[in-house]
Amino acid sequence: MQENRLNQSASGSSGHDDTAPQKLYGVVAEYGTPDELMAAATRVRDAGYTRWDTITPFPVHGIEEAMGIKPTILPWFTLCLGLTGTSLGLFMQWYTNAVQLPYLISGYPFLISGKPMFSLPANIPVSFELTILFAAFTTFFAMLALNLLPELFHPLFRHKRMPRFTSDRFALVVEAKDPLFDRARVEALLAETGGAVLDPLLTPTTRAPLPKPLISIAVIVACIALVPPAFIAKARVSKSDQPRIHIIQDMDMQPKFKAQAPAPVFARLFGDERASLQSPDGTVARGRLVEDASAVSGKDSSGEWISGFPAGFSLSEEILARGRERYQIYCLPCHGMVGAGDGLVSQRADFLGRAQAAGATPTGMNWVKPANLSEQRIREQANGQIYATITYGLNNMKGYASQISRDDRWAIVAYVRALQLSQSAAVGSLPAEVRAQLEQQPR
Amino acid sequence: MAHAEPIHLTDADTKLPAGLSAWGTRSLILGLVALGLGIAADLGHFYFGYLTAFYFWLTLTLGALVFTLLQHVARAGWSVAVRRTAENVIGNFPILFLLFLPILVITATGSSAIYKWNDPATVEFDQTFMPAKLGVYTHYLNSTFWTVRIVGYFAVWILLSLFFRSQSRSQDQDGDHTRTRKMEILSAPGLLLFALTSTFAGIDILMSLDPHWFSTIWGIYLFAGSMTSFLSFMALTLMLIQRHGGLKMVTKEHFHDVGKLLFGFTFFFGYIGFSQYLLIWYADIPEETIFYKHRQEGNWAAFSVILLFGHFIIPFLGLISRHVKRNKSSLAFWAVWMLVMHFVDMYWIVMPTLAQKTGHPEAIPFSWTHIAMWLGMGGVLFGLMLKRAGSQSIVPLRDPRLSESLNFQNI
Repeated sequence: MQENRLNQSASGSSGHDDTAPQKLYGVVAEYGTPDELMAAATRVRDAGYTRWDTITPFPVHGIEEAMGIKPTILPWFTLCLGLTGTSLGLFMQWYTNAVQLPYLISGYPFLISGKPMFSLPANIPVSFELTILFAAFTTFFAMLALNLLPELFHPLFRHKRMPRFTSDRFALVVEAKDPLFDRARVEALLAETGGAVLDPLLTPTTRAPLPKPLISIAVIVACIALVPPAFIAKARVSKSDQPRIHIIQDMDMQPKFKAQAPAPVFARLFGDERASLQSPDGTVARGRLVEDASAVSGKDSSGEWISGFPAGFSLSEEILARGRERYQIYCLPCHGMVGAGDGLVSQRADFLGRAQAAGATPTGMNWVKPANLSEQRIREQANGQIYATITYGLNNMKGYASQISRDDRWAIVAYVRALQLSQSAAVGSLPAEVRAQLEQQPR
Repeated sequence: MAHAEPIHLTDADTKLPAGLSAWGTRSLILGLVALGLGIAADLGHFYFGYLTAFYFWLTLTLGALVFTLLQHVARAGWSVAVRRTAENVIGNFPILFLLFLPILVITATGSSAIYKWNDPATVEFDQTFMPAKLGVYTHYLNSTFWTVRIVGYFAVWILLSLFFRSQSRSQDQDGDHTRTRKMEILSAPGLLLFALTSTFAGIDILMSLDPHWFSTIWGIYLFAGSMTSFLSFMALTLMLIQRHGGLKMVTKEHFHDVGKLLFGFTFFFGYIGFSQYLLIWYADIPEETIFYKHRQEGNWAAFSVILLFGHFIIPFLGLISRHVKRNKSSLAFWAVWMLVMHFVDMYWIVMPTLAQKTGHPEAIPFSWTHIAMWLGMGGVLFGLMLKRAGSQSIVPLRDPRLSESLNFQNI
């Protein structure tokens, strides 16, 4: 009963291009259950056919064995390309971080905190990610390639029963290309396996031409696509006084005047040609009035260093505390807690210097030890000179004028004086209780 | 096959083979003898060898527990035929509690033979030099709270194992499908409990060997080892039963899946172990790097390399092929390998503490007693597991997914 229905529905011509000359693509047999299909596939496999296939609406376990399909070589692609990813990741990190070559082909070695240029633990994550990336992409694309996908059309789609093969029927197709193909023998074999042999699958000998509008659209799109490359090519060989096309603006263009920029035309009516207007002569900014010139230069009118403090600067406990605080922020790292020139930076430099002298480190280093602020030379300097040293720097020491305000610099001078005193105070000058405390301590 | 064929299980399939039943008592007695010999020959420092052996078997049993929970939470079909093995292993939790009693009792009574934090001198030292760390002792690492926590962990594990074992066994009798549903529902909170207890147990029992050192990935690191050791153990047990003529319906498809999990967790171990190393290496903070410093000194450096290659790189390459996982002999080789390597891992974690205690931090304090205790404890637990397996069917006879499992095929 079912057999009859099958035959009826399978009769009639197959294919869409009935007008074109047809050739035989293959012989199709239909089966009702996966088990029948498996048994048939085993028979076809054993008969020695090579160009044939089965069509099932869902994955059938064991079909690849029944069809004699060899295990895929896909894992080898995955392994090889995965290892390529690992090596490439390691190579890139080594080349960019640790290779110094002539300009243009060099890496960019950059020493950070004395860390090694190339160190395996740090490079594992990137190598690992690249391994995964390469392995995953390879698996995906190699799988498509090995399956000859994407395949937009297959001759089998022309078969009338194809919708059933994607729903509830199973098919076996032996292609005419098979070297052993002989239509009568194949049909006999398939019938013997219990399949309902359907109409043979025909396929046109010539391909249908592409639709005309499609061709014109393709030509137009191709021409338009050539325009941007043409502009780029022209720009490569021509000159222009226009600025470059600035595609990503970021914060490059801001509605403000930059230093030394010319004034806009309208503003020239009121000032000169400069965008930054000059303040009138004799203007003093709020809080910037200097009554005593020596507070700025550290020198008196005759050009000598002042030994006291500028006018308007009065010593007090608060000023000294302020001086100590600023000192401990800016000066302590090199000059040390009591100004002995033994700050952490100095100690480290000293250590590196000794290591270098012993040949342990290759880097060239020059270091002038920070001054001991209590030494005689500095004790004898005038306040103005110490102030000038803080302001403009000396030897290795940079000027601190930009970081420490003028009043604070004077406060530091006062605190340095206090430090000097603390390093050479006579016992007799100490308050009685401090002296008693000192005398109790073991020597 | 695309459809389920009715498979008729005979007694030969579902009963523990007689040849193997006799092994139960033998293994138990041999194990007790080896354990006793090991302890007796090494009384001075036996605690550390004992702790290594104990934690090896504890992680393996925890692996069995999480395996059971995972199969239920994922409603796994493939594993039904092999799940009873895991259920038999988790029956060992009460025995493991008894085995932990020596360490529990001496630590609860204030001995610092194992844990430095139980020594007032350590606390005093920290009071002087690391006052910020003192809260660790007052709030967490003190013998009372520690003992309470350990008892709590075992209580959770024993209750979980009792529930899942009894449900599965009762289903053999009454075939009640609602039991499967009940297990599925409770497996999710069970996994949460497992994660918390196994992590904190790892912190309390192993990480606290050095009370100053910490690593937030520690629990996962131990979990990775649990899985590799249990999966290896399960593969070998199934093969042993098959060799004696039982469990014929467990096919290479099941072994392939066990092998895939073993492969996955081998890599997982490497991933987690490296994550821990990378962060500590990069931050370069002395209180963290001390852990690796102890394991890079002297002979320990070579030992660490053995762990890196033996527990991760070599088995990763060895297990990568599908054919290796589908072939019983090659899978058995790697299963034995991974079990040994898990012991190496436990040794690597525990023994540097003993090395420092004995004043030779660079030496590996190896002794045959460590191996004796490891195998002895294993003999006891394996024997008891076989006895348990002999008292019932070795497959969940009336699990609704049994036929799915028996017909399981990898693509």
